[in-house]
Amino acid sequence: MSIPPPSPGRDPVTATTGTEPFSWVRPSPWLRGYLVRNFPLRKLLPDREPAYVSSVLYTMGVLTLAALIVTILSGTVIALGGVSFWHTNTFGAFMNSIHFWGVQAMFLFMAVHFITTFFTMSWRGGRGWTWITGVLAFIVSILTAFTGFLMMTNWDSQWIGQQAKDAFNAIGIGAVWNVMNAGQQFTLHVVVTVAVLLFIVSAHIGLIRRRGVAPPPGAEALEVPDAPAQPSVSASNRG
Amino acid sequence: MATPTHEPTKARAKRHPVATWQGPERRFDLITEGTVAVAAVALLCILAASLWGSPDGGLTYPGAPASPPGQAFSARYWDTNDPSDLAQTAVQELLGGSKTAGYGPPFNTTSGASQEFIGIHPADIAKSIFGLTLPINTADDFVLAPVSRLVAPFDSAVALAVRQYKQAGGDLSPGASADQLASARQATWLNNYAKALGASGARFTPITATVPPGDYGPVPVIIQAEQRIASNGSLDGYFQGSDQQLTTDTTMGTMFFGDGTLWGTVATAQGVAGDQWGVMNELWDYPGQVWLWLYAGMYQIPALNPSGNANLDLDVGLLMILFGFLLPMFAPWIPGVNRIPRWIPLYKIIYRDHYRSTGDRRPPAHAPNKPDAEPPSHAT
Ligand code: HEM
Repeated sequence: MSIPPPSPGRDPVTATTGTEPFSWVRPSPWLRGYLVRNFPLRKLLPDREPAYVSSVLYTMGVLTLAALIVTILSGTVIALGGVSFWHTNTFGAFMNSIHFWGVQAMFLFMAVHFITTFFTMSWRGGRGWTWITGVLAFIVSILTAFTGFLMMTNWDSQWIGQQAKDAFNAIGIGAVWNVMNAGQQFTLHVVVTVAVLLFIVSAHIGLIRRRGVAPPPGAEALEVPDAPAQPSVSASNRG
Repeated sequence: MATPTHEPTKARAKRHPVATWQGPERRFDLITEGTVAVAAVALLCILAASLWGSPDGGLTYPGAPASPPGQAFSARYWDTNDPSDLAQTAVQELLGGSKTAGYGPPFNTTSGASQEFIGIHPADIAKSIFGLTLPINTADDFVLAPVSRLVAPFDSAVALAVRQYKQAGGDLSPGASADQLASARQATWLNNYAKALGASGARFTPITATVPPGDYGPVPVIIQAEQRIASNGSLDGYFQGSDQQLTTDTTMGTMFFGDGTLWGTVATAQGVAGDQWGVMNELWDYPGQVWLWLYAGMYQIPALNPSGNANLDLDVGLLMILFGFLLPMFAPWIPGVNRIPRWIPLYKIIYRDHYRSTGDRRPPAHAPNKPDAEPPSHAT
């Protein structure tokens, strides 16, 4: 299908109105419309924010994300060196230390973030999924850290695995998730849990960008939903 | 002060997904902020890494020899430093008296061992779905098979002892129940020998165990063969390598080591045992999985009777699903819980500047739609 030329009511870049119906055989126009309606670039890459956001508490989310990035980069180096090279290689050991402190920083920032968003009730105004994806990010982060501790290939990881097996076996998942199998933990840590975490965090941040941060309690009326698609969509979706 | 009531936006279903803040704004840049954050956190981590490094295992306990970084627990380490513990544990593995032998699924078919909650045994349910996924026969896997494979071919006395032992019965099939591992005759030998090894007169070196003569059958020869392969490292090689492939699965060795006492001694010395809130600290003073405080704390609750509760892990697991997962997940919708921020109105402090600047002014009644934060540019 050729994309029709821009016309009033259409987004000039994607030529979508945001009202395209869904179709199983040809979902692309609908997906274009969905993305333009929900994630206009002015929302994804903003250069303005509500004045009340200038608080150190509002940097906790982005600091969590920054720590996640530092942790992934240092972890990639350790994994590339081979699972156990860092025990004997000073560069590897240093990368491991960065990885270790990156995780501690991430959880510290995340804890403050968690508490702040709870006490600001940031789930208000249709932001329930932001909260839910946040809790999921927390839980998957715990699983990621846990599998990381299990693949250190030293005494500590042996001990943690031998201890953790009891809880896993008690609830039954020990039958397929064997925490004493270092190879399985390696795959879970560097592939599965990290991929799931990145997916959840992307959704979390996408949802925040879409709606913006929650207004202070009592100021809800200052937050105004954008007008439905037509006819001003070309102005509001200027990409 | 603004009244903290939330008036749900009408026509929820039809609301446009994108909302725009009409109150005071300030300039910033998402990309700049993100870049600065990554650089700052990277510097912070590099600083912490340079100052404090990170813990890398090693084995320490009072009286232990110096241990290189990253040293893992091995049968060789165990036998070198505590041969009596290894020998006595090996006897229990043959007898079916070890923790592993009595574990139940997923390691063996020992009945009544899996934890239960109101009559439900999740481990048994998992076994009926997936089967016995990690079968271990402690007598065979930890002692008889490695001794037969690694020593018997080169030592006729050991070969004879193994043959004699096996002729006396016992179930060596994978995952056999603990009470089937040793026949009555074997159990007599093993119990006699266990008593002798535990007596004060017993003398140990990494390759010998010396006890007064008694009715032990072929057991002492087998146990000393086990000590020999432990002390020269070949038992570790046996646990690490399966028949055909190389392996990254450390289950066998770990289960065997965990049946001994030296294993727990090392953990206690390093402050990571369960009754020391073990999971929260990594070795020594390093922080560990601090975020598991709730989980670690539940193991300390007197009401759960940590020392005498056979279903402790399952109880804690279920409580964690409730308080660690469902409660935070649905907190915004749980009546009462979602009022806590109103009762403890910290948000009034967090947003004090906003409330001060808006003062008593009513927020503008439904501001006109402002599609863009910036004046339209001339491009496009
Ligand atoms: C990997 C973990 C996480 C990352 C990278 C992350 C990232 C972010 C970022 C960048 C923001 C933007 C504004 C701000 O910083 O306040 C945000 C907002 C938010 N986060 Fe998270 N977050 C994570 C975990 C969590 C957790 C555990 C929760 C709590 C359940 C949570 C709940 C929220 C909520 C409700 C908002 C909206 C704040 C508002 O509207 O004022 N997030 N998150």
